[in-house]
Amino acid sequence: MKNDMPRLASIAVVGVGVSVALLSVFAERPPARPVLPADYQAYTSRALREHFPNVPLVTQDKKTVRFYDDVIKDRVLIIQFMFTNCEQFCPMVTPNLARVQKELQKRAAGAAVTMISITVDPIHDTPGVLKEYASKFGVRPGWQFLTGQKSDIDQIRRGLGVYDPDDKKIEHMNVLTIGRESTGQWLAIEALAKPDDIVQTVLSLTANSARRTADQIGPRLANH
Amino acid sequence: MFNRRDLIKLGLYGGTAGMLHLTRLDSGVLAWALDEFKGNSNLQSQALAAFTPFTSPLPVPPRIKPVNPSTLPGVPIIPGATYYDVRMRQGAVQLFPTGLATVVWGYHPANQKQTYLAPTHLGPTFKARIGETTVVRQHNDLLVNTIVHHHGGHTPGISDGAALASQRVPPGTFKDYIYPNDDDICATHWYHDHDLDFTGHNVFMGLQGCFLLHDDVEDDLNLPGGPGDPARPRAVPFDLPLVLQDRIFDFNNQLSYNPFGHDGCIGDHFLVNGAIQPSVQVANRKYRLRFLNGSNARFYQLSLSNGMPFHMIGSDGGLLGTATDAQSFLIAPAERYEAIIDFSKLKVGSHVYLNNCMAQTNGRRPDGLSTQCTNAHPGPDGVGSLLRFDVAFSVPDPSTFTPGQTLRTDIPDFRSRRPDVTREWSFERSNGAWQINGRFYDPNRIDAQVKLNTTEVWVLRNGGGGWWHPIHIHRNQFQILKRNDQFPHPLEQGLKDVFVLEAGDTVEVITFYNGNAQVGNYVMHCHNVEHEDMRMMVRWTVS
Repeated sequence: MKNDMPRLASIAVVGVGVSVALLSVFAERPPARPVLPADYQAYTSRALREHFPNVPLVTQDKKTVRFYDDVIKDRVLIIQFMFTNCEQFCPMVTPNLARVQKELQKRAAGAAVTMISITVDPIHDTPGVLKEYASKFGVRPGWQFLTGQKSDIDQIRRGLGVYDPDDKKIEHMNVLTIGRESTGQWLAIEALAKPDDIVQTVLSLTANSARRTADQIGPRLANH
Repeated sequence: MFNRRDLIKLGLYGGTAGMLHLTRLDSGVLAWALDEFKGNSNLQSQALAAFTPFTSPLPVPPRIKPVNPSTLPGVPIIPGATYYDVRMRQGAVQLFPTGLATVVWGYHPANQKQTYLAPTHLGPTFKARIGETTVVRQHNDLLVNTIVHHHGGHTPGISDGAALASQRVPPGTFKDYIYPNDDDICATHWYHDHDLDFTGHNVFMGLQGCFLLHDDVEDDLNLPGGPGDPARPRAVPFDLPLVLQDRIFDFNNQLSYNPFGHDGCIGDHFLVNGAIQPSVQVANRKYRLRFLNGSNARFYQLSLSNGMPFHMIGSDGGLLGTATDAQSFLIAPAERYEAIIDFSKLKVGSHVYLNNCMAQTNGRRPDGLSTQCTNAHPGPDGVGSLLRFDVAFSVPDPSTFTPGQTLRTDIPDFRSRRPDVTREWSFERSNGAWQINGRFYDPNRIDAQVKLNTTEVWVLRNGGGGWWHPIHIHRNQFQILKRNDQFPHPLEQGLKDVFVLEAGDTVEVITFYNGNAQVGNYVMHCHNVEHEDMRMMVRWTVS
């Protein structure tokens, strides 16, 4: 049975959908050794889906989008929570992110990055209010402002772990969630980090995709 | 009242998704079944079928074998150095008696025979004499960036492996790490991933191992050591590292890391040396145990079930001046403590459990000491037995140790030095992110410029909020001058590189910055690695 491993491994590198079908063929003759997640990053990405409720949100252009399907899936993202009446940090964070967007758009890899600002005060922050707010800061295409049902937005905040357990008066954690959905790489840094730092951080997620080689896919042999 | 977890453990859970899942697992095929479980992370993280503790033997990470430098093209040639060739790659361990093996990331010696499953995710153990240079070529065969940090080492900045973008080893590349090992005394160091923003995930996946330094003074003490009983294939060395980790697994037996759990990753399964609640056969003689808390965010309070004391002999940076007994001790993430445990009065056939008495259910801080710290299977709060010692045989014990004995008199005494500089560091939380001295981390800002051959006092202050922070300073070992204005407990009088800041604590530490090779960039950060990944860190330099 040991000789089955390379064959199974080569099968397992096929896309997720195909591999389910193929593996079911092998299920009738169980391998002596278990088949492992061939593509760990795809597996991780899939495991994290529960963190992205597929709730409807509305953009500043009044377009309805689904949070997972239309906002998160297959994207490299910078996600910020804000509200237009916020007086403490948002007035500094939004211009900071505007500088990030300018920097990103200077670089080829930067075009792949989507920026998202989600209001935590959706009753006040209608699409029209968000559109006006965005234009005030010179927001360009590639950066969407989203509103929706408060309960849906709270669910998103819980999923992304940005509900501050400390101070209820401050209505959102002053952090950016940065990630790449297809690889399951997610991190959070302070929203007032230097624009250059934010740009480097998000681009470090995009840098790896081209490096995958056939040698790096599939169950690896451990050696001890 | 049974909850779902209990029912699953008893095999009684009859939900459609669960049944489907178990059926698929039985086929031995990964079914990509996660869609069946969306929306219930609690169920997902605790869904393992019946697991009987103390059935797995304790793994002992093997010592890595050196290579000839001629096999490493371009490696710097340093007289007297020992060379190693390591690949960081994906592998698998069979952690559960049934179902899938668990994918892990680890450090694999490039010159050793490959097998399908590794006995542990822990990397091989490095050993070096004080003053013997170690050169390690680390290949990154993973798909993500890595940084290898030699934790505790007196290491030049370029090889320190701090969480700085400039230190990254991108996928498909390698880096030669040079460790002069010119530390003051023998010690239990370790090495682990330290990638900027991703340390929590990468160490959770297994990128950790031990790095032990030895010296002549230690040899002369004749403490328990040596390879164990050669007649017993499962015998463990008498000098034994015990790496404590907590982990979370999904329905497919895979490690389940939550990258959105910024408070700190608290696991509900308890591993020692990479096996879940293992047992180990020991002789009724003395053992030297090196405890390392390799958990991301969990604190442990360790005790032995039969009330035997730990004869404590060492902390992070090496042996204590004088051995001191402890009925139990707190060990924070990244801390190391060494203890002699004497099984000689126990009959062959008896069992002793290593228990954790500290309850902790979130990353903010422990919930407190449990009064029900018995030989129970730990629940999610972690209170219970982590490891079982089975006193299984008798062998002669040529080692020497007397409780309370003087261990060494050559430990550098930083406390008696007059500081050239005193720096204060306040660790705070601000609007959901971490600040040090009121500022967010900036990789381009240097927060302290230390001059070589100076003595510095660093005052570490917990700025509030009730969080606990194990603060780690790179490059040097320190002595604690004062903890909350008191002279430190005997266990904290040795050399240390991790300092627990409980809520409201202030700890003053002192060191002498010697070592002309040890210049460049270093960091200080919280070793709750989720706090570290959210940049609870400062960059500083030595020149």
